[in-house]
Amino acid sequence: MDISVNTEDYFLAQSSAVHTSDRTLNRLNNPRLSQEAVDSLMENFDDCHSKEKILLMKEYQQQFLQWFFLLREGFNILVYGLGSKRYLIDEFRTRLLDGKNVIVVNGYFPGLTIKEIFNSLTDGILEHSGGFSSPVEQLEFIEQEFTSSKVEAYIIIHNMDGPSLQFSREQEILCRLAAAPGLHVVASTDHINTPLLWDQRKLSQAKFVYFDCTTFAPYSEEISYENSLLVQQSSTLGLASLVHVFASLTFNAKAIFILIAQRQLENNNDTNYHGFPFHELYSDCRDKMLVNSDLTLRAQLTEFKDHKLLRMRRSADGTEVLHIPLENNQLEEFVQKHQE
Amino acid sequence: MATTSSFSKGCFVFKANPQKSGRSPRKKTKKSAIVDTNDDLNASSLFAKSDKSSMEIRLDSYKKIWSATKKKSEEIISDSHKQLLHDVKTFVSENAGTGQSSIPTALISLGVNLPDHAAFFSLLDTTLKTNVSPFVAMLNSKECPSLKNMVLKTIQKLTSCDSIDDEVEKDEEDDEDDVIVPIKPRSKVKTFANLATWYSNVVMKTPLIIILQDLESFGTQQLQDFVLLCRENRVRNKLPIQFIMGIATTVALQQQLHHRTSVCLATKSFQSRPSVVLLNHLIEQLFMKSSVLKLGPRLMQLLLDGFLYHDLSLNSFMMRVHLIIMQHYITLPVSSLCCSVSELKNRIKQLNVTDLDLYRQLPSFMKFIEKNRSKISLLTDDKEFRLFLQKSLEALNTYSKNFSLSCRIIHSLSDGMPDALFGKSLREVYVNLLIGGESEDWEQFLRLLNVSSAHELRTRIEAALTTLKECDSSGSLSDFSTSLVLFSEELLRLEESKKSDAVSSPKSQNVFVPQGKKLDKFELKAQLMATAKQVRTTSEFDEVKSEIITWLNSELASRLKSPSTLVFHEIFYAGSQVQSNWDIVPWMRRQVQPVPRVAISKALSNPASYLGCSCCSLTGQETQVLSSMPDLCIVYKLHTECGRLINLYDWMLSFNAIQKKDDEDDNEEIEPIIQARFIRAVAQLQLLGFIQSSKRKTDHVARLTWGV
Repeated sequence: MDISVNTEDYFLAQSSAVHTSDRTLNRLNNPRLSQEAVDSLMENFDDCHSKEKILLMKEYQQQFLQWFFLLREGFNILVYGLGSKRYLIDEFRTRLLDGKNVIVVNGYFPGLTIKEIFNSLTDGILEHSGGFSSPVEQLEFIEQEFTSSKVEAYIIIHNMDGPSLQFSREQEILCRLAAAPGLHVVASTDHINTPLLWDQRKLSQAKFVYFDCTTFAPYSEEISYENSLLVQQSSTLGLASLVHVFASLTFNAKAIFILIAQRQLENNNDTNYHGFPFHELYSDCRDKMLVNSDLTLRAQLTEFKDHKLLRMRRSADGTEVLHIPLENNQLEEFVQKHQE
Repeated sequence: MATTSSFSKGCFVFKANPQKSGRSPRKKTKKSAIVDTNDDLNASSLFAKSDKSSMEIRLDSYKKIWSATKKKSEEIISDSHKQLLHDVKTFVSENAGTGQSSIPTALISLGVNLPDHAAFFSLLDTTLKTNVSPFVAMLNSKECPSLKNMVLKTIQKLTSCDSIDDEVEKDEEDDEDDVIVPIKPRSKVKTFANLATWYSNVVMKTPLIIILQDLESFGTQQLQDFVLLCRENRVRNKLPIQFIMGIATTVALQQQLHHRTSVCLATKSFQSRPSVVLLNHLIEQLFMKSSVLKLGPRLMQLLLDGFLYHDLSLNSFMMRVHLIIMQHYITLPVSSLCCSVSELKNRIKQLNVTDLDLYRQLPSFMKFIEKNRSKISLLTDDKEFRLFLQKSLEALNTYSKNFSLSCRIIHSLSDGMPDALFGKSLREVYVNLLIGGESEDWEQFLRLLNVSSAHELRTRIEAALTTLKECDSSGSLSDFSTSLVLFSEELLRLEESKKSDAVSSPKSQNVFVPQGKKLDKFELKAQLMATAKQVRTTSEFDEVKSEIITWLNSELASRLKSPSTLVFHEIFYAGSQVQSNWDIVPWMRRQVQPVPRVAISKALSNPASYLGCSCCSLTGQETQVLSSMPDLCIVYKLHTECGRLINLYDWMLSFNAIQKKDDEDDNEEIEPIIQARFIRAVAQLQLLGFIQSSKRKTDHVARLTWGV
């Protein structure tokens, strides 16, 4: 297939006004499906192409020996293509790397750190008991060990472009590891812009051999951590946390928050509304005898801010304005509930 | 095996089984971590369609050829750096004293092929350490994020050579014993003041050399501070510090070296040879000399494209050559005969009947049989076929030798011709002829030879003769060179006789203007017409010239036909047209130009191309949406119809509309299962990087790509 990028298209797409309808997901019977609900629904969903997918998988599995041979010859394997490649690589691991030193890194896991990988190598594989004063030192130790001694280990990285690895520094380190003679890397990537992560130097260190393994398998494991992905879910959480925090507030603090919320709702059609100006809020609060000084108001606001219920920023004219980072319909729902 | 998914960690360790006995543990601390490296047997099943012996032969040949190629390429590269290394070495030793206050600095411009620099610097390191001074600190920007690190690293590296010497001595004492992992001795030398004290105790007062590998990547401020610090110490503590800086582009220099920095440096710049020159050299040495495996036209073109238009890196070039050699021997069952001529006879003898059939299936052989019906017995008679095989392969070998030589001859014959017909460098000539350049070029070449003067022609022929003498050690083209010698002598004779002619009759007759008479325009025209009509008398020179050209056309052109015309060329020229399952070119193309994005787009817009199902095959345009396609593809195709922002609700409605059966009524009720499938698909599309959540409008997402 030929993908010709027409640069004009970019400007066309950017210059045209956005024409989309104003309909929202609220029109659905159940606008917010929870993660569990989606999972249980999908469990029973039967996919139509299962036979073809199995055939594809079988075809890729025939390459395993070649992968292994390439790894032994000092190359590293990079698998790309549509669909989760977790199962495929796991199959490779169980079939050919059984009984060898293997480290499996889940790049899609949001809490993953490079330190964890280092520790797995030094503590898990090399059984090194001493500590390290810095990650750099640890990396140098690993490199030295896997270069000079006969120790070998295979590193399997699912989603080398995952959320915690998609930075220059992390990629630099992974490529340095891949360059060590005793370390063999099998990695998979999914994001369409992944190749931008690697410059000449990294590529020449990594010595990747590319394999197109389009499996069409669902990315169920990979997306299970990304709560921002399920647009539906993330906003429910926002509202839930708001209700939670709100319940623990003092009477005055609640009243202040409601003041801001109401003002935001009154202006919800005004595109120029950036937030409630701080000084106006102060005078309003004084009128209602909610605070007695500038400082007490600020103390209250800081608490909101710490719970991420409120955002403070400077507007164009330099005044401080306050904004609640919630969708208007949710805010409305919340205010109504409160007034009841 | 245990599961590798968890909500609390992202790293899982599987330890190797404890080693079997019989292997002496190298290190006490990690006996169990050693893995048996002898896994070659495992690789055996890779070689499909062949018995064990053939597999072993091929594996063996691959290893031999690759290690030879690798060794040679390393030699070539280090050879090509020799001059530069020598110059830098001389510069460093000339400026060994501390007389001048500014720091002697060698700026080495190495070109943009960064991955190749490492090889040069390691050579430089060894050269300096053995010839000039053991105190060399090599730094790159990656290990020096701050000035503090930079100073520490420098000092650590400068002083480390001392401790290494000690260690070696110690190691020698308790030789044979298990060596405990040397824990880096924590050096007490940590500041420049310490360094000065340390240096005053050193016996050899040789310069302290600091090499900055990638000048561009250091922070400007950091670099400035570092340079000032070094200068301060050079002046006050009499430390003979010197710099060697590697630069990729000259532009960066002014930005990187601020005026305040550069006044502290006494710089001299050096230039490495451009990597293209090195590449030419590599190709000449690796593939034009007597190498066993050669690159076929398609692969040669591919590698050159990768090099010239992509990275200019010899490192990646060699990596690709490695892959090609490996793939050739693994994928091609007939590669067991890809060996030197001396081994050929023995190997052909070892072939069994099924092997022979593989050779008979080669396209070039089939073509040969079609053309020569009389040789049809080769298909059945194994003995005859073996002989034929041997004869053809030997002929092929002679052919490729002659081919390279002829390329050299062409190169020296056409050198300096207008338009650089076959290319300026020998590599270009070789590649052009290998690919089977246009015959127009050849004709143009002969035409240009035809209009050249006797002297010019002779110089060209003599140049060709010199090349022949240099390269043709085996004398396979001796009759060729004899003819060339004859021609050149003939030309020389003509030239000399002409000279003597010129001496005897100095007045050359002017055909156009009769002396003493003025011609008007019409008369001149008439005169010119008359001269043109006269038959030009062919001189002796013209005769010789046409003889030379006819000879060249017959002798040289036959040696320069493309290798793909020869029978069994597939065995020696990697990447020739063969049966599709043996063809390594598509695979190599993926390695040189990997296109993960295209693979994803293709799978999304035309899933049938991968799945091979009939239900999803496109009948119309690529934007066609079919309900049988996987959810992800449908959602993707719907999203390409949108602009910058996408309304999630409307998107879901269209998804629903596609999933709905035709007979259902038109209500907009969305079943939960459809909703769940849609959510899944959208989440996956975000993982792939096509969309992103957006705060600009309620329930909208932003599209990150444009066009289709």
